[in-house]
Amino acid sequence: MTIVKKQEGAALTIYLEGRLDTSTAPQLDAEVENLDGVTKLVLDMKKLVYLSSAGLRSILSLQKRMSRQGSMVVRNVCDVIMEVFEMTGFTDILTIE
Amino acid sequence: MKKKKKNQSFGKQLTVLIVLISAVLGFAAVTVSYRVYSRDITKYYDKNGISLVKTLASQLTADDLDRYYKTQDTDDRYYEIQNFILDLVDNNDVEYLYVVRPNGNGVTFLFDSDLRADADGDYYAGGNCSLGTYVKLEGAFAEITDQLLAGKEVRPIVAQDATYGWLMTAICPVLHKDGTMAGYVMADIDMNEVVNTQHHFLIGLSALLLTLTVCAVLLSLFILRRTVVVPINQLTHATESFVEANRAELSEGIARVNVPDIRTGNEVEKMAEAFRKMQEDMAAYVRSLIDMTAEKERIGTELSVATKIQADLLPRIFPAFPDRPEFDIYAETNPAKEVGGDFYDFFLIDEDHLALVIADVSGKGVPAALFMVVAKTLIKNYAQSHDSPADVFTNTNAQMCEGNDAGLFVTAWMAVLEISTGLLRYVNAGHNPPLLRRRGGTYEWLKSRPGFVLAGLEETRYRENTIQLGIGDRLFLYTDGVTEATDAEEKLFGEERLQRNLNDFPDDASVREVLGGIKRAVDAFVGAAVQFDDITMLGFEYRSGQGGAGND
Repeated sequence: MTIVKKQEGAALTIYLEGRLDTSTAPQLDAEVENLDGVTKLVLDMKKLVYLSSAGLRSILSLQKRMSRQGSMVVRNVCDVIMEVFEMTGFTDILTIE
Repeated sequence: MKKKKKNQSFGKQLTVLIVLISAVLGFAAVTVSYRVYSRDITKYYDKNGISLVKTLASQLTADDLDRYYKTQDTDDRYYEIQNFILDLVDNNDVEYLYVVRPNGNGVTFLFDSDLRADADGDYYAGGNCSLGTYVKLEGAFAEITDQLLAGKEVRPIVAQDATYGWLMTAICPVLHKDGTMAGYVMADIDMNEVVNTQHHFLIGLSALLLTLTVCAVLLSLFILRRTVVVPINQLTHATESFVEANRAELSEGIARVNVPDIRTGNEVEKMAEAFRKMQEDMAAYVRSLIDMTAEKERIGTELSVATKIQADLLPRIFPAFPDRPEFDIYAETNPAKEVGGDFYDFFLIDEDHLALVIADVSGKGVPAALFMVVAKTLIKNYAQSHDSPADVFTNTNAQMCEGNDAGLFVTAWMAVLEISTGLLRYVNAGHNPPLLRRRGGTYEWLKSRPGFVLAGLEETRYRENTIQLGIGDRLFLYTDGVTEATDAEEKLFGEERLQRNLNDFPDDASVREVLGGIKRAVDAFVGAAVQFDDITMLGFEYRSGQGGAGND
């Protein structure tokens, strides 16, 4: 998968492209290892086509960290992934725009 | 045509090379020294001849010669001179020594060393050149007739003569006081003797060179053998036999280096060191490989034990409740790896309450398996304390959130059925909803608003839903390994395909038959592609509210 990061001050936007699953989730974990000073994190999923439970785990861990140091927003979620979020109850804990 | 490559030994090749070099150098040396020697030796004889004729010429006076030429009479002086000539011939390397007086086209002999005295002191002419003999000049001598008549100095002449052989003639004039010619002293030196000397020199030189060449070859071979051939043969042998001789030691990781200690002080010694290093590295590599293999085997063994333990954790004996005809259950799980994160469970909480659980831990392998054991144990414990399904999940979640640094979570669906009434209370923690088939109807999703996954957030509270099951109603519980099974073209098995497959079964197909059929459909769909996720299913049929044993 392709991960593009764009930082503007304390706001960080991460563009996810492709499949976020067991094999690619460690890639995302590595990219967000250091989030010092980030108070607003945006996950852009416009080009994300697949999300597995391993990907959900990475997103959950990001959400937990950002709850402590600011806020996290998930945006441009397609129908397939929205279904995953709904089925797993992630819609309750994520801020989805 | 195939050229056969000969495996020549180093020694042979070197010998050929040395012989070739010696031959070239020897030829050059022999040629040069022979030329120099020939020139010198010719010069030597040349000089010898000249000094001889000069010596004789100095003893002769023009008057003597004039007198003997004119009178052709011998006197005491004549024999004095003749004896002197014979002395000279005896003490020098000269064939003939004679004195002539050129005139006309020839010469008149005045003295000749052929004229010798016998035992009585009488002289006799050995040849035909006694005093007064006239001989016509021929060949090279004819060409210098004018110079001879003029009394000029003449260079020695080398000529092949049928009668006298191969001769070099040294010539010295005897002059009158006025510079006119009175006669010539000539000495014939045998050129065969000169050439013989030269041949002897040539043979001697060649023999010396040959001896030196043989010595050089032998010495080179000896040095080569000591410093190259023998050490290389030792190395070859050591390398060839290293694995063969050390097979057992290698497999036990105790192989020893067998390269001999080579101290030649040249490249071969360096090569031996390199070989030694290679063998050490090889032995070390094999050792680490053995360790690694042993470690892998150990892990493999442990994993297979873990697989067994995990499988034993799940109820696997069917029919699970042979004395409870009110319901039928069948379930199976197929981990993608040795151990999986999926699990199902079913158990009687009491005589009238049956719990059904299906769950999927995020991730796979050993971490997921460990997490699965915790989740399964907690759910069963809380359920057996008669907690409501919602409370079971709320409590389990709170427990599992504690110290969950790995960030794993579990999606789970659980129901508790009141067997006597068919009342089903269920709760969903982010899991795929099951399919429900009412008697005579089709499978439809039992949708409900799901709660958040277990072990996700501490404060999550779960709500439960309730439905009433009728006789013959069926439930199909599954994990996303079924719907997300992927074929070689990355297509998903999908929910629609699952629903269609389920509805294709005849109404009277047993729960077990349905699960087997779905598994086969998934396998056929995946084909040669690798199973990526655990595949777990649980089927349930509600048959009656009445306990079979007592009420039949």
